[in-house]
Amino acid sequence: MTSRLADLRPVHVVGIGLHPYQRMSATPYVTLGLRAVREALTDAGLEWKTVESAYTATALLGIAASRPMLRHLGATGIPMAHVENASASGSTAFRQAVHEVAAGFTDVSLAIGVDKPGLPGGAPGRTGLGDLVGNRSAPAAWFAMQAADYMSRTGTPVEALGRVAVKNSRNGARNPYAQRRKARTLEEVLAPPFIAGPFTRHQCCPVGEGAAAVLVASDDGIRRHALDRSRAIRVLSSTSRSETLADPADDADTLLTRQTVEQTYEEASIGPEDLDVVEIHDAFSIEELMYAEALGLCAPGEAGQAITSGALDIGGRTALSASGGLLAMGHPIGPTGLGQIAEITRQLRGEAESRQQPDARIGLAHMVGLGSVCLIHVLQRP
Amino acid sequence: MYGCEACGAHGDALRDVTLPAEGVLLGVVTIRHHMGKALDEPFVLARVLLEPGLAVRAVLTAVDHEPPVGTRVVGTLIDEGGGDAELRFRPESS
Repeated sequence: MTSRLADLRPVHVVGIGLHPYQRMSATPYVTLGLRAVREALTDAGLEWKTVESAYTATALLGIAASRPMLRHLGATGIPMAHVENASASGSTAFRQAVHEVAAGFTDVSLAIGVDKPGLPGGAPGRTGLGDLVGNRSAPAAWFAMQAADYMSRTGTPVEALGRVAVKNSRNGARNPYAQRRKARTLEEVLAPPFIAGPFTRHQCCPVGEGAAAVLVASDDGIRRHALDRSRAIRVLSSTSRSETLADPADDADTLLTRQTVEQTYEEASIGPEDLDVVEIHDAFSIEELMYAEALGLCAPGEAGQAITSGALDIGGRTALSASGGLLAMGHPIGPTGLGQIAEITRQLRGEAESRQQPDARIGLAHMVGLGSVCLIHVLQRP
Repeated sequence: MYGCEACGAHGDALRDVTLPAEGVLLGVVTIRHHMGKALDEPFVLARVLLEPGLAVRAVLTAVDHEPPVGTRVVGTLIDEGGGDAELRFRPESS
């Protein structure tokens, strides 16, 4: 017999912390990670010695990153493990921590994402199976191809792609943790140089460095450590899938998100109309349109219009990428999924200040990872 | 060692299949800036639907602009002096 998250012990996000995402620097990853964890501990009102397990999400650091970082908080002997799932590493570490608390193995667990860019490509290029493109392949290329197909199929103009980046730059400018903190005009976003197909620089996310930490706890953990229950955000669902075989003419990425979110809505007993805030994997501008439709936030082919109308702005019916998304907040890989959870938590607590979505009650975080995998989490305020 | 993505069959259950190096374009994109080193930019990448219904990613050559989706393409071996010829695709009409 299998269980869903809803069948197990309730799990709550009780602490969040980040090191701002930034361009590659000489800052050691330990400095990045410790700042995020200490901020999360302070946010929760917890001491490190109360944390019973830790999952470190990193895709680029290499082996044995956890203890050399976390020992600086005190060598408490807790179990530590690494999680690597490409762009979805942070989301997967969060899922592991949530499952551990839900199953009753721990009452307080940590998921910490930390990364620094600049290392060469990963395992998909070392399977022993060759291809015809070699090192010319890059995510921007394939998403640019999908952008061309999407625009041709739906009649969406290139300006709609640009408006995604305009909206997210506006949100990122209000996020002190964002790597890009300048609001851009449509003219700026659409200006050359081009990277791939219709994508300009501002339609491609910056891959920098940073860290994001999330502490999760059970009801017992909240009681035992006298945490502030009014700021604890319930994790309603955690769903994860990998790509299946698709017809060559179909868009496998959108299909994967659609399949995953069907499971999400069933597990969380909600629908897209219930979502107040959504963080989405917008590594490239086209992805926000594709996935907004796959999540059911708007009808197929209408995401561009929804962005243009302001329906997906802060203050609209659903605030999409209120953090600035990957396009403006940045995409340091390991931390990204946890940064989304931190943003949703902040929004649901009503603590997002100038980028607060009014009366936000339910939020969804969506990530995809190279391979491909998809993870979706739904959070709800008490 | 390798197996079938559809059913998991492997080893003796698999057989080699020679695919025709011809098909139609499913998508095409010009790359103007790439993180990889030692690449001449711009270059053009494509998804090609081969005759048996299998899609492959490939480099498109002999084009000075992006041909439309649906254009028929054929394979061509390009040796840029490294010793190993590379299979690329070009429009059938070029």
